[in-house]
Amino acid sequence: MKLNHPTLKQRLADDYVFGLMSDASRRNFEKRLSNDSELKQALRNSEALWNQLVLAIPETPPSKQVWLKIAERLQLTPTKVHEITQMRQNLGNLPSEPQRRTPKWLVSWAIAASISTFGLGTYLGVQLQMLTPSTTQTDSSRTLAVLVGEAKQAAWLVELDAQQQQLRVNTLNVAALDTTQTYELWLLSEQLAQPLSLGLLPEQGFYQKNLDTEQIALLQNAQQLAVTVEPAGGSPTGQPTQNPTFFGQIRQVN
Amino acid sequence: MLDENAIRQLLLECAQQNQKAMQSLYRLTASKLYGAALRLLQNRDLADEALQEAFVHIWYKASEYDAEKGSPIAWMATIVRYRAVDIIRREASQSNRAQALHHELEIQVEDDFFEDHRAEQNQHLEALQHCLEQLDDNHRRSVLFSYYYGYSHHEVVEKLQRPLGTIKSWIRRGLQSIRECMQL
Repeated sequence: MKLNHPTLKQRLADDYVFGLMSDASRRNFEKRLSNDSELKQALRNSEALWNQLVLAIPETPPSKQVWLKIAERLQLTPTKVHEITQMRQNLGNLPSEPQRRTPKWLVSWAIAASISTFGLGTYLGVQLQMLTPSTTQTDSSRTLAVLVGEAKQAAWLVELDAQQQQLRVNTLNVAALDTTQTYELWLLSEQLAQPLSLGLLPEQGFYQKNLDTEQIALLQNAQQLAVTVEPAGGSPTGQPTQNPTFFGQIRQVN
Repeated sequence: MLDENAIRQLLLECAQQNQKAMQSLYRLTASKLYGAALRLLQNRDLADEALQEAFVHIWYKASEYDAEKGSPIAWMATIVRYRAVDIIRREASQSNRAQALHHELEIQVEDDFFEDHRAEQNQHLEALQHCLEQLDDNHRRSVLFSYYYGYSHHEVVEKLQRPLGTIKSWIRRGLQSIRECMQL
């Protein structure tokens, strides 16, 4: 049988797909592929047929880290989410003068946050390095927080760019809530009597908001961010109605 | 059941560097492809790596997918499989994988495969399963061990206690019989 016989080409393609070739034969086959369209087609046919077997394998969800690594490798910039108009409104509702009184909330949250932060410290450090896109690094220093849940999954990357006076929120890996609930971002600081809402968080994509000088100063001096699950539209009281499900230690990045 | 039209469309959009399409494509197909990688590699870390490498490849090569020449998910599965096979070859010790495979020694190959996925809506897979069932036991085991379970030929030799030449011969005969059965 001659080498250019279609049946032989198909058998060779099967051998290649099943790994039946020696190293030398495999290299020779790969070399021929670039010049032989029939052989290339035979390979496609073979792959299409035998990969039906692969498709018979039951599904298994991969770790969430896989997508984060892919996005990092490809330098994917999250898509803007235009639809979340309610979030925009909420992000604009920063109180001008926060009240000062004994921050009881801070004690209980701080305990929980400290426990989380202690355990997640190393993780956060790694995440911050891993998740900071090279394109965002400029000469100016930046304030960053990775909001991490109980399962140690990084959910949002929040960045304050003081020079551009912008708060940027990148969604990393967030479980979608039903339509009656939403995620709300809170600023925790010893300077504040109560948690300060920074608005609703997107469940996907990217969002940015312009900040004024006072807001920037608050964020730069804050210690932590937290996220609670609130009724759709945000907390009806202006204060968290649930315990936080995500925490993020605020860090300065040069 | 994966929506092949949706996957095809997303691949076309990925070819135009549409990042949102890439994210949607991942959400739609990652579990299926990860299942395949994990089956072949028997190790979550290695399967993570295979899936990651495959999707990076898919992003850059999406324009090479030809919608007229086959199922888009089969095309993606091909990429995942090659990445997995590369990793298997690369892993010098393969100790983790070998250990995992050792625990699978008692697998009832045929039962496992046919119970994993009873083709009901995929005619090609249904035909393939039918033809596999017609094969001689040794041929069927060799084909499934080699492809579906991702065993190296030396591992198949160990499992079936036959020389390498015999195993390769069984695989080739099995493939030929399936092609005849499917009239390809």
